[in-house]
Parts: sequence; C-alpha cells; structure tokens
Amino acid sequence: MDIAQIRKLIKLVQSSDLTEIEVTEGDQTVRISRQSQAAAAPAQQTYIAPPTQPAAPSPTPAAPAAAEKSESEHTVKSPMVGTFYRAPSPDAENFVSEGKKVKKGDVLCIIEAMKMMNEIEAEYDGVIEAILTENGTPVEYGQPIFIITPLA
Amino acid sequence: MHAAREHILKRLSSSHEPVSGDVLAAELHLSRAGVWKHIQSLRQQGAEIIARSGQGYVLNAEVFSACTLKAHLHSGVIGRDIRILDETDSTNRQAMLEAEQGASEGLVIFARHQSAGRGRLGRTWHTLPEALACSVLLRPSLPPEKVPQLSLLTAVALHEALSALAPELRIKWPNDMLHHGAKLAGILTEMRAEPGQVHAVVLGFGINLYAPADGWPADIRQPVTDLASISGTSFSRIELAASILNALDSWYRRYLEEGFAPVHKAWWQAHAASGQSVRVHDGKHYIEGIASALDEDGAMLLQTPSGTQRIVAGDLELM
Repeated sequence: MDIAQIRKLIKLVQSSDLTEIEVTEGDQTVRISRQSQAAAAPAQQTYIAPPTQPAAPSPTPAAPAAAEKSESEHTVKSPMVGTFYRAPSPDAENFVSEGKKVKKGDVLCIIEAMKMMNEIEAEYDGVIEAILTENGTPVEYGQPIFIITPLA
Repeated sequence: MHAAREHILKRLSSSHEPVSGDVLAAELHLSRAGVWKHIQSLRQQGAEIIARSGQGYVLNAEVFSACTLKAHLHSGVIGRDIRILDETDSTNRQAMLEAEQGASEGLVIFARHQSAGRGRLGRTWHTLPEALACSVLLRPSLPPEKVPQLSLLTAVALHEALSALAPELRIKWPNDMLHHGAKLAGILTEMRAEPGQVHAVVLGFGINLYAPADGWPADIRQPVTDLASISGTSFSRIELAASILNALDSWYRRYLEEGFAPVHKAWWQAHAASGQSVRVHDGKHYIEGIASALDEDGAMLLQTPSGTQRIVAGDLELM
C-alpha cells in the first residue's frame, strides 16, 4: 500500500462520521484512527493522530458527535457511589495509564465506599483511551470512569 | 458431615465432663465399637478426642479444626464450607481466588499465619501469632450500590459477638472495633461487581486475641489492644470464632429479609462517635464536624459549618 492510498483513507475518515478504519491488502494492514494514541500493530504503517494539541487555536475536530457515540460504547462505568483510586495504595504505581494496553481481567482502579473496596477489572482486551476522573475523588453510580478501545 | 459424627462433636464440645462410650452409643443407637469408629474418623479429620479410661471421651476444644468449629455453628449459610490454612498471604485474597474459581456463598477461610494481611488502601495488617484472621465469601443478589452496607453489617456482627468478652467495645465508622480508643479488630471488605451485578463479596476481619510476647510491631501508629487484656479471662478460640460466624450469619439473614434498617439501628447504638465531634481525612484534607447521622447507604453524615457533608470514604478520628 503506498502513501497516496493511505492519504485517501485518511481523507475518507476525515470526511465521514467514522472514527476508525482498518484496511487489509495482502499481508499489509493499515488502521486509521481519529482518537489519539490508538493502538496499532507496531511493524505496520499507521497514521496516529498527534497526541498533543497544537498551542495555537485550531479548528474543532470533525464530527465530535460520532466520537462521543463510539466512546459511550467503550466506557467503563462505576457500579456504585464511592471514592475512585488509581493505585492500590497512595505510594503504589497506578494500575493503568492513558495509552496503555490492558488485558481482560486486569485491574483498572478501586472504588471504595464504607471501606468496601471494589476492584474494577477490564472486561475485554483494549487500550486505555481516557481516564475520566481524578485519583481520590468521588464518583457517582453509573459515572463513566474509563474509555477503553477494544483491540480486535 | 455424617450426622453421628456431628452429634458426637456437639455432645463432647458442650460437655465439661467426659462422655462415656456407652452414653454415646445409646444416644446414637450404635454399638460401642460403632461409636469408636466414628471417633477414629473424627480424629483423622483433625479433632483431638482423648479417651480417658473408665470415664469416656473428651474433646480438646482448642484444636482449631473445621469440624470442631462446625459443631459449634448454627446451621446457616456462613460456614457451610470451612478451610483452615496454616499459612497464607491474605485470607481475603484467598477467598477472592476461590470465588473466581466458583466457590459458593458461605465459604469461610481462616489462617493461622497471614504473611500479607491488608488494611484499607494497601496498609499492612499485622497478623500476630495469637490472632484470628478470617474471610467470609458471600454472593448476595443485591445491586452493587447496596453492598457497602455489608461492611457495616460485619462491624455490627463482630461487635455483638465480641461484646460478651469486651462489653465496652465500640464501632468507629465505618467498621473499626475500638476499646477505649484502642483498636481490637479491623475489618476489610471487598467486592467484585459490574453495574447491576455483584459477583462476589468478601468480608475479612482480624482480631488481636493476645498481646504479642515480644511487644507490638513498632510501625503500628495507633493504640492497639487485645481480647485477653480486655476480658481478663481465658476464652476458647473455637467458641469465639463460632460466635462471630453465627452472629454474621444471623445478621446477614436478617439483612436479606428486612433490609438495612435493623443493622443501621444496631450500628448507630454501638458507634463510638454518634453525635460527637469528629474529623475525617479523605486522603487530602480534614473535614471537621459532628457525626450527626448514618445515611441510608452507610455513609457518615457530618454536620459542618458549611452544611451537611456525606462521607463515603476516609479515616475518621474522634476529637
């Protein structure tokens, strides 16, 4: 697959509601994703949206509605009211961070209420797209706390 | 367990005198040899039954085995399956592992030694040689948001069972057990759930039974105490464990039937700081106020100058 073809695919994604497209041609696979730091097989050519926003004001990214829709499908929600912790103890490393791959069953966070500790686990293999709440802050029932893009 | 063996254990553990083989044989409609066979099989399961010649059988109640403990339990859910481990990292962890492998509600795990006992937020819980470390597995069909109430229920059950030996025991929100401000027991509860569905709940507790001979570990930063120092009497470890499991079982059953209200009432009455000035550290700040009420879900309601604050997680200190 040549650069021209990849450019066409990028334009296709930009001009549509798609957030991600994956094309396989022979033994080459290209995945174009609108979300930052989307996972891609490392040895393959891939366009990754720049993770940092330009300092100068830039036009609003296209199709935010579509992005939100895809996010809600891959959102991890809090099963209860409680306090959200990103690490097992204040001195320990965070369970996960943005851009990291997780496997099904990996612990994502702890939610505590009344000294009942609820370890929330990943329900599928994926990439942590976003962590939507701060360590040590309250979460409500059903509040989105992570966006995890599934790995195909 | 075999009904005859259960009868023998109950009979021996409730009697202060040796019970003769003849009496047991008559009660069970068995021959003396038949009774002896059951005694042998109980011994193989870990019960220390001593035969005193000319008097009868005596059970050494201080052998902490699953079958002697079971003989003291009411027939409920909690304790249907009892495992006693010589050594483990953490009974809570073991109970959760068992849960993942499909263990049913009511599994109880005790450990004689716990190498990585845990408290809140990864804090170490020192399990001393003379301590009781235990975890109970439940699988309630409750919405996950109700499950934290079981954390307070555990405190109410422990308070009820331990009060026989420590009448002045108080609960500190949400579930610490304090005697004159010193910690006698700690509770750590854990759950696995997704929105709408609870997979497993583990109620873990550790109780200091005797003060360590070589002193308390130096890194314990709060006042601690032990049951023997408080009660000033000797007690049976088996009977204590049984009374806790029985209390947990009956409170749990009552909770499933009647909801949180009875637990709420018992908890508030046993709480050290009801209506008193407290401060809560939420990991970042102190919040000061009057512990004015316990909310419906078990949260502490603090009356502060800026209004009522709901506390869901944090360390509460009496002032």
